[in-house]
Amino acid sequence: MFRPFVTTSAVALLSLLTLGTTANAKRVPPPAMAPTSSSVTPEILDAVGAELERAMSSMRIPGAPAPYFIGYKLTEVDVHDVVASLGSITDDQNRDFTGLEAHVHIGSYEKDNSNFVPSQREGLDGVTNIGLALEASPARARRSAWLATDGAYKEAIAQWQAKSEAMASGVAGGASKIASYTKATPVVTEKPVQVPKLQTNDELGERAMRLSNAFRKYDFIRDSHVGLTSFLENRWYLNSEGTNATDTRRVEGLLIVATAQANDGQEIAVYFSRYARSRQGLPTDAEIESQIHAMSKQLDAMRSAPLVTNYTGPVLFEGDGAVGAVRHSLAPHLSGTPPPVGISSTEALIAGKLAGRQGLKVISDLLTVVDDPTTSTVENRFVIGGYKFDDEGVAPKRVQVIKDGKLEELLMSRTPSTDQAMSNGHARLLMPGGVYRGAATNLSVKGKKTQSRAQLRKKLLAEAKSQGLPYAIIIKQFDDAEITSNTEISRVAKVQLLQSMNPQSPPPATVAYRLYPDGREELVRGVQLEPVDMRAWRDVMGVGKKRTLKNFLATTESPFFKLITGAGPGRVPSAGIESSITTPDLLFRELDLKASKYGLRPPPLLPAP
Amino acid sequence: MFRKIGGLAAIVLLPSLLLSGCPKPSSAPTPKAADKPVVPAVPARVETEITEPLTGHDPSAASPLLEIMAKENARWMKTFKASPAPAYFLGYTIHDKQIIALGAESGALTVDASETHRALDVEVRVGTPQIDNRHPIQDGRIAQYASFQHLGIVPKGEDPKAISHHLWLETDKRFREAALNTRIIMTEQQIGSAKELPPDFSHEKTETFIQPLGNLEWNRTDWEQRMRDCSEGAMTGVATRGSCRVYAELNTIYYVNSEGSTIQKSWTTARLELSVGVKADDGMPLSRLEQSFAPTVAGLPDVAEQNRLLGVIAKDLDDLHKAPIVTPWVGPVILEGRAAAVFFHEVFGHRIEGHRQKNPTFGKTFTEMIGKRIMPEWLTVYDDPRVRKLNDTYLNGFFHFDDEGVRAQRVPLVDKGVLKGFVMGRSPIEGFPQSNGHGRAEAGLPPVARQGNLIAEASETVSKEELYAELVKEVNAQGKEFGMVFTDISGGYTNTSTFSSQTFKVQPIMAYRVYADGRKELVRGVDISGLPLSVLDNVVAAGRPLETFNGMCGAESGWVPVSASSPSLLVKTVEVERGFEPNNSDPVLPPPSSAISAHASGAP
Repeated sequence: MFRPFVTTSAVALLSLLTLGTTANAKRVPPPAMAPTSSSVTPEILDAVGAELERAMSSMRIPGAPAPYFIGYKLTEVDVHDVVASLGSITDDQNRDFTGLEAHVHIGSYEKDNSNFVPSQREGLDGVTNIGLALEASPARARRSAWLATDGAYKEAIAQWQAKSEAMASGVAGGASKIASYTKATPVVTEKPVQVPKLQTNDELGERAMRLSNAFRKYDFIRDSHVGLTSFLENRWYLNSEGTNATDTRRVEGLLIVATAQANDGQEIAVYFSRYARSRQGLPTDAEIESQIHAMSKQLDAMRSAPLVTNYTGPVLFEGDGAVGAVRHSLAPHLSGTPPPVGISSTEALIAGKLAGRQGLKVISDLLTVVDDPTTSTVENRFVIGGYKFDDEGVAPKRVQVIKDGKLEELLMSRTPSTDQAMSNGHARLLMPGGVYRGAATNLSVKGKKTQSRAQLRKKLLAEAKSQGLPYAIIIKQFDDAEITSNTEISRVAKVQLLQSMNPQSPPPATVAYRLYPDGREELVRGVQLEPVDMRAWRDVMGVGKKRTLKNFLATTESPFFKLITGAGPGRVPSAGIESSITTPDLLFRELDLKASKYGLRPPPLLPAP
Repeated sequence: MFRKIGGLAAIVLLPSLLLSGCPKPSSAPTPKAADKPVVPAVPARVETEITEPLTGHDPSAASPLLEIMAKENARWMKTFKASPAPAYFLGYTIHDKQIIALGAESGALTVDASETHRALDVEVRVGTPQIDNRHPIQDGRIAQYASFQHLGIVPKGEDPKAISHHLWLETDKRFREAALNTRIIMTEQQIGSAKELPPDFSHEKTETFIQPLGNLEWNRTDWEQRMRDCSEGAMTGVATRGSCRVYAELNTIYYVNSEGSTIQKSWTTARLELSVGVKADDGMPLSRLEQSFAPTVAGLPDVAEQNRLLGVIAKDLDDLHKAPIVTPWVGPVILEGRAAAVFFHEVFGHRIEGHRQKNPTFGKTFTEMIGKRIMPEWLTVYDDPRVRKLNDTYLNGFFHFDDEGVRAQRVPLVDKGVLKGFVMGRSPIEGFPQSNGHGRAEAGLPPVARQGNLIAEASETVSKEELYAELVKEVNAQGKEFGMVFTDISGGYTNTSTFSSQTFKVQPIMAYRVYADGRKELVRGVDISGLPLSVLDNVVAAGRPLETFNGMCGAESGWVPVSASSPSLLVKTVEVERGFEPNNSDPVLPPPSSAISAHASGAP
């Protein structure tokens, strides 16, 4: 991959962005398989199933509606995480736990307790969690199911009462004609899903230590670490409609972060992340080492890069930058699940802006968007967002969300909307109010009238010129707060930052350039896009030929909160929703960005030893 | 705050309300001679095994880490001297912790953890010992951020480049935060009417102590089966929940400071935890927890003793299940050994922690009472972290050096009823310019003065029977229907903030009414509360023997292991409250049949 007028640092970055997409299916030898569960056995499922039947037939509180639906999700999680810095381990975790999540819906499918957040009582949602033993103990499992179901039923009654009062008083918009919950076809599977076995902490540790050594020769780097995670989540779904199915989530992750201070003192960071379903899906050691050197050179170049100035004009998102644009400003709006009544206005604002717009042109007609949890590869490359059953135990469907810019179908859970009654198997995130929200899995954006990167840049410059601008902006990577945020700013400043941030803004861009009419690229720092409105997507004026694929773990918490907390000191983020995005480069006609001086501080009194 | 680990939830008291016009006691109370029963001068048995701080010092066992830490520390100190905001002190602490935990319920393992962690604490002092970045910040909105735990990252192993790089990185971060705090404090000094306080930091003697690294030894397979068997045995009588857990830890601390102190200390601890629970017929959750501490796993109770303890708590639970709920009451009480120990820790111990005599947000109950009588003259109280064993019981608050590099010392607190001193860290107070080796903290939090092994000795004691007889006398004298006896306590807490009243609360588990005819009746749902000065004024007699409560204590510098030892105490007047009753109804359905079959004696 070569383009004219590219600086040395840009070449290094390109290799960075290309690396993960080369790990394709053809190269992967069959890995050894993980053993079946020893803590959730058929006997455990029978015991829990018996309790489900008992609760459905006889769990009643006089004067309160009876349960019409009970669902259990059993999970067995095994996580191995290791982080190393400069050749030595800084964190080494081995977590193993088993739990049961009980959902109780009372009333009827037409009108139930769910999707409502009682004021000041977010915890009342008809959902309870309880730990199970690490060893198969049917008596204890049944007892746990008994207690969890009881707790969820009592919560559901309180939630029902609050919801009924809010509806009756008109506070929640009055009586709704939309049903509360939809029926789903029961699914029964007997055989566990076979997945590659986990790497041990020793294996991960040895590799992380070896790889992190590569940073030792770069004295200007403040903090650097290489994190590896290997995790497995076995799931079992049982519900009162007859579903009894099992599924598995399995991910290997690699995270590399390096930080430095720019010449003016601003904190700067670069990161690299790759997720796959097995060790073989990750880059090789040689590729990673070369990546580390590319990142270090990139970081070095950023030290002397100028701070960007405020800008309004065309922006080209290339590679991971395009993935970020889709992830942060398009994907959140593809959910068709109506937000829970009573959710805070801030939370409700962030997502779901396409609801009720089926059949309308919502983005540029150059673009088509598909979400497909049924696949494990896109363009012959592994993706991690797929599954056999979603979080509600529903078999998923490939959904063409947008065709040629026109909205066709949103991503649904079992909570219906005015436009879509049935789940399409995309329930992924438990929301306040006790319902799952439909969300993206393996999201694929395709374009028409596609152009090469060189042609897109030419178009970008032409647009900038027509808007009277001396240069245009290219964004190649957004920050991922869950990976990089071990910021060094003081706690007082962090809180100040949280209060002053617009929660709809995308994360800061970590790699961005000014592109001048003569083709010269200039690396810039401090690029913060203002919120990208859905309207801006109608003005996508160019689409790249080649597509970039990125596997990642979508955070279940606000990215702004993550900016403050990060994954914890030196930790690997191994919790999140397995997701992938494949997208071409995207050229937007006009976006606003501002210069951010985030992390500006004096250089250290003393150089590193 | 004092609790058994895994017992009641920790309660943190925050100064959320400002109560104006609450008068402080105008003078020290003096016990009235007429109130005191006539007791013989029989001191309670106190046999201690003391380990002096330098015991086991072995310079050849020094880790290479210490040299790496000293080198980086010196490099920074040289630079700080030339800084516009000079730091005058730099301390590095590396905490290594290996933890093993195994637990079971109903015969199946529920907890199985084996972890090792390393964390870094860096203490930078910017300013001068008189006023530095640890000076109390008046603005509560800013001060609250100082209470967050902050663990620095430092790699495992002994690689000089990796270790020194991360020491450098964390020092740079902490120095910036310290310099910012100092600027805030100096601004507050300029605009406020801050009265002069004693210095923020004391200079202490340079110490060198190297202890060889410990070993965590145990037989995992044996303990797995033992926990499974134990948890099955716990489900007897009315218990609907029973668990057994064993924990073992190896802690190693590497400490280096800019004054030249170098300390390497390494020790193991082990804990066996037996717990049973049930709901009473009215829905009140009831539980009994028994914990045993020992320096090693091998020192924990054997299977026979474990089963005996299980039998005791199972019977207690059966009795509690049938017991009536308490009604609010005031009158004479006996706090038996361990209950009295927790009572001392909460009522007295937290109020003699040095820094609480200084910070304007604390109530300072005893600050101006040095030399005054605060309790009966037959009571003497001290804190001594050097005590390894007291009357055959290992003490949880034992240590060689505190977390500020100062050697553990015996601190006389009360001598024959007269207040003599405070437990001190390196934050001086009026009349007490030096630390006495009680600066303690959990990793990631700045140390403050904390208790270690609090020991109350009585020079005049009576037998248990005589103490009960004194209680009955007091019941009759006060015209009460009954007195009360507390034999075990789950925990307690005390408020030392000046923004609300200086109350304490302890939560007895085993509480009995004792009637004039000697009859005992168990009750449940009891809390004891009161004000420290008045309740100490009302201690009228002590029994034998001395008993110890081992546990963990939580306060602003985190959770630290402590012990409190006391004889049984007869207190003339104590207020008993009805404790919190959670609105927990029984499950709608009876327990599932499969759970019933797991019970030795049928369904609850």
